Amino acid sequence: MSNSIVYRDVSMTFGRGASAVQALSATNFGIGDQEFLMIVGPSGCGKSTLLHITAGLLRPSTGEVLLDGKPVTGPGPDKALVFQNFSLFPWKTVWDNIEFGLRINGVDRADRSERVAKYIRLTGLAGFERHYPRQLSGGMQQRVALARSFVMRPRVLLMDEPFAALDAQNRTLMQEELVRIWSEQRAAVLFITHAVEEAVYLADRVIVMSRRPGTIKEVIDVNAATGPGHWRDRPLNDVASEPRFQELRHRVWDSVRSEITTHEDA
Amino acid sequence: MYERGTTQGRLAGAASTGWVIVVLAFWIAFWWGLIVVFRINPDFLPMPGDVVARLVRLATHPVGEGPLHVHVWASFQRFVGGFAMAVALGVPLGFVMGYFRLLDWALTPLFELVRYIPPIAWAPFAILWFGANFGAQAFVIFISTLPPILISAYGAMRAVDPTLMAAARTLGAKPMTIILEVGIPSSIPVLIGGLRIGVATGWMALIAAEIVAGTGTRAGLGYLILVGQQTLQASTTIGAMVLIGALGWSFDVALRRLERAVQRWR
Repeated sequence: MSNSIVYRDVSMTFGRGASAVQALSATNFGIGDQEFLMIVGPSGCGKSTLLHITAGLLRPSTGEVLLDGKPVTGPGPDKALVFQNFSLFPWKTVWDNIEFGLRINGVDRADRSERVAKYIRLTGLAGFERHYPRQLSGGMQQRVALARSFVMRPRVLLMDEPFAALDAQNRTLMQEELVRIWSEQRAAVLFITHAVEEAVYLADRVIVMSRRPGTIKEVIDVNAATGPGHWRDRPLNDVASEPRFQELRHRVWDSVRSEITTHEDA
Repeated sequence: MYERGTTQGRLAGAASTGWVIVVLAFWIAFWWGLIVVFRINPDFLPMPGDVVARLVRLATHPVGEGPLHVHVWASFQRFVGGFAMAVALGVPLGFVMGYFRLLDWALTPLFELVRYIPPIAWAPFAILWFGANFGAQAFVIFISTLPPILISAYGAMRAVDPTLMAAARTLGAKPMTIILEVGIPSSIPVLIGGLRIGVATGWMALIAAEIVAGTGTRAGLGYLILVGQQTLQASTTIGAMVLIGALGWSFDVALRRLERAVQRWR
């Protein structure tokens, strides 16, 4: 499998001199063309930093990120970012939020309408086109955010704990929704989470990061454990009771927990 | 997510129209009672009824350049002229300063200094540059309302939720698009707060300017105050003062209406 994203010696240090904090130590890895990659790790391990560097919102202190062989120099619609707090424009309706990226990138009106309508259908937002974000539940708002990202047909979808603000039922529903939409429109996914179960359920590979300064501690190949039929293609509820799923979840959690405990001892 | 209302807003918001009328009636009765109880000379403090009678007379009998409406209109024009210039310059400049740091560094110290110069201190230069007429008075309004308007536009842009700006950038928005489509809509509550402060300082500066710098024309509410003083008609002066207060208040009410009208999404 070819890589769409490659990290070459990417590191990040905030501040200078005595107050400098290294958030991320030199990181090297690649994300496959249509790979679903999940990153888990303790708070402050630099996983959000890595995501923002990938989006082009932060410039790394050393190294570079390559997207299809070209260095990332700034943000753009080929690298869609979904935020934990949704970050919808509260003064725009659902329709206008989803249309925004297409409009500012000069997509013509007819094409725009067609694409917005398609993603409204796909995310189950039909009937809510004229609603404002504050009139929607958290789950509905995150659907709008997903539609706003997917409508740009990004090469890579960056997700910054997108479902962390949702309750458990909504989170499970949204995970299944995400898989459904992603199956229709494959892209590389870099998904950051605290939730180990979410990581094991959705990922092709899970990367466990160490505490600060973050490094890749372990790469776990979920595909190897699931075999041909991936867990994410079935409801989480059916998968969660399978021994192999529980075993892998356990292994990832142990790896993350050892980082949190060492952190507290330090 | 957003600060709602200034202290003024809360005070004004607490009072319903009916309550305002009751309270004003009480203080007018208090004024009347004071004169009756202490037998105050009407040249020293006129009765409320005398003030009303004087205003009615002024409405039909010309003083200076005409009857009352001519004076109200003259003051209103000068105020709107200066205020409109301050908005036209201050809002765009404040937004751009809030977004681009270099402009911020270059201009902020200047405005921090100018805002502490009392508007009326500009009167000698205003007369020198524009003559003692509409130009001088409008200039005093302009220079007194520019700092609060500019500083609020600047502060509003600085206070825009950075994740909303990041969201716009990842969708491909350039700086101008971000200012227009993210900065301005989310700045409106703070900006209107600044306009309201501008209205208050500008309207007060106008009257001062009409008294000090208005000798070229014989029209305006400030001019009426002077007439009252020169002709020993205390009722004319107080009548003009009451009108000044009522008009200033009605501007504020109009701005609050506007604030609600442009924020239906909240």
